[in-house]
Amino acid sequence: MTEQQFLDLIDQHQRIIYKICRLYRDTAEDREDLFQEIVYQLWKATPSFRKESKMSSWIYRIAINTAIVAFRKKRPAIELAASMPDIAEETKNEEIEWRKELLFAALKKLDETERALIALYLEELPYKEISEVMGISETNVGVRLSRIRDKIQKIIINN
Amino acid sequence: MELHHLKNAWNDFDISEKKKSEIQSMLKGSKELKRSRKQLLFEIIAWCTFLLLYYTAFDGHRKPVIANIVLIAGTSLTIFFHIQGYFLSKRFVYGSTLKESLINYFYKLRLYTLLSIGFRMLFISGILYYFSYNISFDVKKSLSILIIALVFFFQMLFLYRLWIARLRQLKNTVSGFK
Repeated sequence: MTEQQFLDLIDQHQRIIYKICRLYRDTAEDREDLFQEIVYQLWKATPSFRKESKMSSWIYRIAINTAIVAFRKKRPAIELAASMPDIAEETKNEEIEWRKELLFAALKKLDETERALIALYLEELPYKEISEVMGISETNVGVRLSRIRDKIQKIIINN
Repeated sequence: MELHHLKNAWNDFDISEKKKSEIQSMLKGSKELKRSRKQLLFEIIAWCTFLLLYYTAFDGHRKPVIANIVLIAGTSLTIFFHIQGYFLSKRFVYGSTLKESLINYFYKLRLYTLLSIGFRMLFISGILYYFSYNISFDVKKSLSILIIALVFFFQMLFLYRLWIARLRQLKNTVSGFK
């Protein structure tokens, strides 16, 4: 892959990298650092890219791997908002924003492996692809996702 | 909130898109990596200068051969492990699945930590042995050596705690795959 092809690829898929940064880091500064680190790791990993695997799966795998392993500065943990806003009084946009905030706050309560699984699930990757990225069986993917979905529901309800 | 709401929230994600020129500038490494590279270069120059000058500056000919060997070996291994550490912070992917890669990285990091701490102890012992050889100790000098040894010890302890915390975190993540 040439440098230009790689830049085109990242340009097309930068949304994936943003989502992983948002999922694994709490502050804008840390997310920016992680974004740079992921791009660099992807660039270094291009020779090992196998054409039979899907490009988006490959990006997810390297991005999540980097997010888990990369050095992170110690910062206070983010807590879920103490109360829910009164939806009836909100505009639709505000409701969507609120849902996003609630989603990410709930996802951050999961451990790092669970976050990886749910990210791939929310991205609507088939179980087979999720199992290939994660390195666990398809059955295991199904069982774990079911538990994680329950866990998320509980986190949201309890809040 | 239903699951389709979660999916919608996940997919409806606003980003401030980066230009290709910005992405291109990231191919040389992250800020953290660039900082490590500079630090590594500075340390290599400093340690190599020390190795070149110590023999004449600190009376190498008056010390026993073993003290010289321990000092040279300890310093060389310190340089070697700094380089190893840099390469470990440069590459994070060591497998074709997430599980395989994280397990391999964990073992590499654990080996590096053990060897790094072991050789650092050798280096500190070498430095203390070399500089305290042929010195007739009075209370003041003994106290100085003790203070230096304590400073080295606490520095090592701090380093050890940092590495152990990182390894523990990674181990927890790896065990999440089992």
